[in-house]
This record gives sequence, structure tokens and C-alpha cells, in this order.
Amino acid sequence: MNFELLQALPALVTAAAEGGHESDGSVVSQFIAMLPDIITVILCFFLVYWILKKYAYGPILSAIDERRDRIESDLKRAEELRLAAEQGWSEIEQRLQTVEEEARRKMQDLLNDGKQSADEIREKGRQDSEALLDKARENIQYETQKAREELKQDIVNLTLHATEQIIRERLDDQKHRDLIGDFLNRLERN
Amino acid sequence: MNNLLSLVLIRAAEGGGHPPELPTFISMFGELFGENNAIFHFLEREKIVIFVLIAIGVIYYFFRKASKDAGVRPGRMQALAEILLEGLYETVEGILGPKEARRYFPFLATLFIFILFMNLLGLFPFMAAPTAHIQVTAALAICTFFYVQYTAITRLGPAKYLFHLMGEPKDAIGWCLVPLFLPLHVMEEFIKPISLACRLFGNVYGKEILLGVGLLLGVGLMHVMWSSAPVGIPLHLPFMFLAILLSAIQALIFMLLSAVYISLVLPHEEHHDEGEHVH
Repeated sequence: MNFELLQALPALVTAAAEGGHESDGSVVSQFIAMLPDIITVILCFFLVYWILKKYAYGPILSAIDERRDRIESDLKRAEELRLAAEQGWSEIEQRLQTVEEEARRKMQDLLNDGKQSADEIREKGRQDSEALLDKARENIQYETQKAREELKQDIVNLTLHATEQIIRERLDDQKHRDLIGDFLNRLERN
Repeated sequence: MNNLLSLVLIRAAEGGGHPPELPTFISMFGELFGENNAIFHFLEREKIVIFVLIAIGVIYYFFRKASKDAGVRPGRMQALAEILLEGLYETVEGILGPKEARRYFPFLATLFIFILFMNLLGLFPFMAAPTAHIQVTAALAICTFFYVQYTAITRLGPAKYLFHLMGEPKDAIGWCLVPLFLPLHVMEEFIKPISLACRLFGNVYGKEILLGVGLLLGVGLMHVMWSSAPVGIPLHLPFMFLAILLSAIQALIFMLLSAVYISLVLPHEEHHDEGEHVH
């Protein structure tokens, strides 16, 4: 095993640490010696500033700004769309309500029309039935009259026949008919 | 390969008088082709700038790819860049308020991204974090210092800025304390960037040393157990996760403190109007 290097390590580190603090000349002379490097680094700093201005602060920051603006405008548009959708929804609801009311009204109208038609039909039926009744009544009256006439004729005939049978006397046919007719007329009036 | 690694580490530790550091492609070049050639000397001399330029290259590649088809529907890279930028913007907005954040965001975000990429660069094999060098952190702190001063003078005006440095005296006692406050505040303005630079440098440098020591120990232990082993024990691996966190935190701290320094020199009334009180 190689112990030489391991044994030398503490001495190396100590020497190194001490060596780092060694200084040659005054601070001012050291600063003057470093001046070319300092000026070069300052120029390098301006170079970095220029590079970043060209490639970072310009395009990247503008891209960030653009994205921020776009997000803001998108959010604004989304909000507008939401409001429009809400307004549209309320309009639709209002229209639905109007349509429902219209449908209800039309249904009511139809019901009224149906009711009116039913009433009309009923009225017509009633009138027809009344007409039929009147006609039937007229027929009945006519038939009654006719029957009455026939009955009157039968009564006259029967009376004549009966009278002939009773008195056996045959009177003038026309005179008999008149006498019986007068009798029946009086009878009807009474 | 393992011998080469250990050689680089030992050379870094004892030869150069520096703490052990992770091997970079420059140190590997020196080991492979010798250190006495012009290319190595150039690379070694300019290694900070080289690593800074590599970090810039990565930043350029990442953001160019991210912004290539930048649109409302983002790709994977764009989404990652957007998460980063949006997070940064919200952080800056929290400190400066919505009105001021837009104005100062590019500067602050550049600081964060630049530092983050430089910090993370040290985690890749044969790379090093440029922020482990005081030159780099000092340069960034100087940028912040001048930017803050420029903001103060343009937003407040020279007279009002001077009044601000005097501690904004409102009564006789306040005016009497001006000779005390003015130098203190002026010193404070210079101490701020120094603290920024030293904090970032110290943390990243510490991270690099930690990883270097971990790697050195891993290689050394493997040598002890098996001298001809092709690889070392990855003892630095647990610290890599810590280093990722530290890289992001240090970049964030640098940016946040810069944002606070800017907010301190902004007109107070505007802050009250925006409901942002950071003082």
C-alpha cells in the first residue's frame, strides 16, 4: 500500500491554506495588477447584458407578456361568454315560459272551442229533437184528428144504424148526418 | 489518469502555494504538453477570462436556444428560461415594487444569471468557477457600485443624493451629526461593493477548495488501498450537491443585495405610493 501520499495530505492541505494567504505587495498594487482582468470581466458583463437583452429579456419576456395578455383576454372572453350564456339561458327560459303559456292558452282555446262545438252540437241536437218532436206532435195531432174524424164517422154510422134499428124509421140520410154532426159539434164545444 | 490527477493536485497544493483545486483543462494541458510552452503560458495567464468567456458561451447557447422558437406555447428550454426569469422578476418585484422592477430587472437578472452560470461552471469536469477569483467578483461589484451611484444621481439628483448621504437631517441635531454621517455613508457606499465582492469570492473559493480537498483525499485514499487504481474515491461528490445549492444562493444573495442597494437610493415617496417599504 502506498502510504506516502496519505502521510503527505495534511501537510499539503496546511501548506495550501497558508499559501493562499500569501500576498505580494500592497493592496493597491495588487488591485492595479488585477485591473486588466477586472476591466475585461466588466466588458464581459456588458456582453452578457447584451446577449440577455437580445435573447432573454426581449423574446422570452415578451412571450411571457403575450401569454399573460392572452390568458387575461381568454379569461375575459370566457367571462363574457359565461355572461352571454347566462343571458341566453334566461332568454331561453323566458321563451320556454312564453311558449308554455302560449300552449296553455291554445289548449284552453281549443277546449273552449270544443266546448262551444259540443254546445252547438247539443243545441242542434236539441233543436232537431224538438223539430222531430214537433213533427211527431203534428203527426200525432193529425193522426188524432184523423182518428177522431174516423171515430166521428164511425159513431155517426153506428148511431144511424142504431137509430134505424130503434125507430125503424129511415130518415133522410143527409138530414140524419147533419143532425148527428150538430150533436157532435155541440158535444165537442161542451 | 489517476496518477496524472494526483500529480496535478499535488502540484497545485505544494508547488504553486495555493490550496488544492480541481484540475482544469488548462492544468491538464500543462501536464500533458509541459508547462514551458507559449500556449500553456497564455492559457494560464488568461484562464479567468477564458472561463468567463466559456460561461458567456453557455449563457449565449442556452438563451439563444430558449428564445429560438419563443412563442405562446413554450418548448423545454424556453419553459426553463421562463421559470428562471419569472422567478427572478417576482423576487425583484418584491423588493423594488411593480413600477421600479421593470426598469431595474435587466441589470439585476444579468447579475444573477452571469454569476450563477460562472459558479456552476466549476462543477463540470476540467472547468473552474471564475467567481473563485477576486478579480471577477470585484468587477461585478464595481458594476453594481457604478449602477447604484448612477441610479441615485439620476433618480434623486446630485443635491438630494448628497442630502441622502448626509443622513437626511431634519432638525438642528440632525445637521450637527452631518460631519459624522456623511463620511460614514460615503464609506458605506464603498464598503457595499467590497462586501459583495468578498462574500461571493470567499464562498465560491471555499467551495472550490472543499471540492479540491475532497478529490485529493479520495485520490490519496485510493492510492493507499490500491496504488495502480485508475480512478479515485469520489469523496467530493456529496459536496457537489452542496456546491450547486451554494452557487444558486450566492448568485441570489448578490442580486438581492444589489436590488436592496438600488431600492435604498430610490425616492422614498414613490415607495410609499407603491406600498413597498424596504427601508
